[in-house]
Amino acid sequence: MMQELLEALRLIRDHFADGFASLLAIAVVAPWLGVLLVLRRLPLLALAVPQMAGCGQAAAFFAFALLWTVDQAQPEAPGRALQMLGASAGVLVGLGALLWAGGDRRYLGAQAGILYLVARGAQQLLYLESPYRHAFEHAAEQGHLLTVLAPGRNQVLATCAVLAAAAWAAHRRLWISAFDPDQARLNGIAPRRWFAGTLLLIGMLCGLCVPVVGAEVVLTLLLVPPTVLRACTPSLRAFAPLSVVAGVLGSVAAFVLGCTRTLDWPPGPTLVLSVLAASLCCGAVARLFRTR
Amino acid sequence: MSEPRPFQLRLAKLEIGYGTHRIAGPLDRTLDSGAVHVLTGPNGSGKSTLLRTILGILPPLRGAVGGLDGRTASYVPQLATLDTGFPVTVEEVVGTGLRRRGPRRAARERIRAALAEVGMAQAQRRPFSRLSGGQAQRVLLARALCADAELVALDEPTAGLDDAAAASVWDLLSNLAARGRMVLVVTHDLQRCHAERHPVLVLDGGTLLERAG
Repeated sequence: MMQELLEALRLIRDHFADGFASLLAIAVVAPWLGVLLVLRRLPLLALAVPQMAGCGQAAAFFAFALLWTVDQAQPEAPGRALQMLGASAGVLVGLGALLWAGGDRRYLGAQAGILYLVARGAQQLLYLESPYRHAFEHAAEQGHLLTVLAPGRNQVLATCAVLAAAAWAAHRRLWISAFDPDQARLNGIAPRRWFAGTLLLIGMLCGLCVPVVGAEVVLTLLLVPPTVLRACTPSLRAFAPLSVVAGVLGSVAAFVLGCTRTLDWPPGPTLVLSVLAASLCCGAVARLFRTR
Repeated sequence: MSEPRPFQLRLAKLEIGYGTHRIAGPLDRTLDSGAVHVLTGPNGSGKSTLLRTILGILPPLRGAVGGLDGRTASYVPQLATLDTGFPVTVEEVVGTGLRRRGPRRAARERIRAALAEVGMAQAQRRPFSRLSGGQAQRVLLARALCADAELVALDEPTAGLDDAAAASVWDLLSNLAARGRMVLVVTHDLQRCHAERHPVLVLDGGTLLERAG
């Protein structure tokens, strides 16, 4: 078993280092931002926004095939810029639709759930109706961590660095405006502006990272660790770091499991299960400290 | 805690409400600092709305609130309006009262002192969600103290408290007023207000009246 583990690590170092580095960067930033959605009782936005980015990316593929003649047997993929544009447009359309629908804030989560289903359905149909159905349908379902190349890795690392810096600088304002909007106003913090700021950070993460690693990877890391750990975490100070630890541990486990010779599991579903397992373990440890 | 210069809060033809729905007004009144002003009235008369408008949380429909420019204010809301399921400790809740957090050690000291003043020093690291209603109310009061605000507004701070806890809250408010703060309290606990000789304002039928002791 030890031999197999070492072999998997060697495989990651030699062939999949770009995907591994991208996943680790997202595993640090996504749970951190997901905490803000969970604190606002809007965890379903963590489902909807990455899926909207995935749908936008599928629309970019569809439009590329429609506007430019591509070889039906071996279609050339659109450029990274077009994919990013599609994903960002998808995020903007999704968030715009949610905010435009307005209504009672308590139902925003349910509306986000519907948006997720619509985006998922539209994404599948767009791939089915384009020449990329075989090449990308599978990847869109399972993430494309193992095919990340250096330019994609750099894009993910730069995005995550910017988002981490922004979230670090504004974390107090972001959480006070989520916890007690009235107190936030007295402290000179505009709650609506910071809600928009939260959506902007998550929109950027999805718009720029989903085209590289796939929607499932981002939504798993945004949603699972903070949602599982909310009830176990003793304090706000511990909430985000604990979620990040769970995300990183789950990601490392998923990548290693995916690269072992006997298992060879696809990265998307493996990530979901391993991040959930890591979150439950971190939650159990946090509960242990909380009851002491 | 530094003593602020005396000031006056002026309500000038103030109309309050939400959107285009007017709840009360026009209201004209001048209130002095260094006193506890009690605001009472029937349910739905607009007491909490008035408090939130004075603090600037809600915009006035017409008229103005004057005298608070550059003054700091803090607010103790009704407990039911807060998300008590939030994973947050008592220390973190009190810390939200600080406008600028500043050096960590100094902030901790202020938080500790405020909690000691309301008798909750031992609960500093406890989850806020595990407190009883009365304890949570005292923690919110500590947040207002921590802010060292010149205007302290409280919305039914003694609701759900037993007699002893309510008496300690009123003592604390009188103490704040004695230190030059303006304290505005929405309450139905009029017996205690009369015993303490606090001025009482009644908001009823859209107008603000002074009630004789």
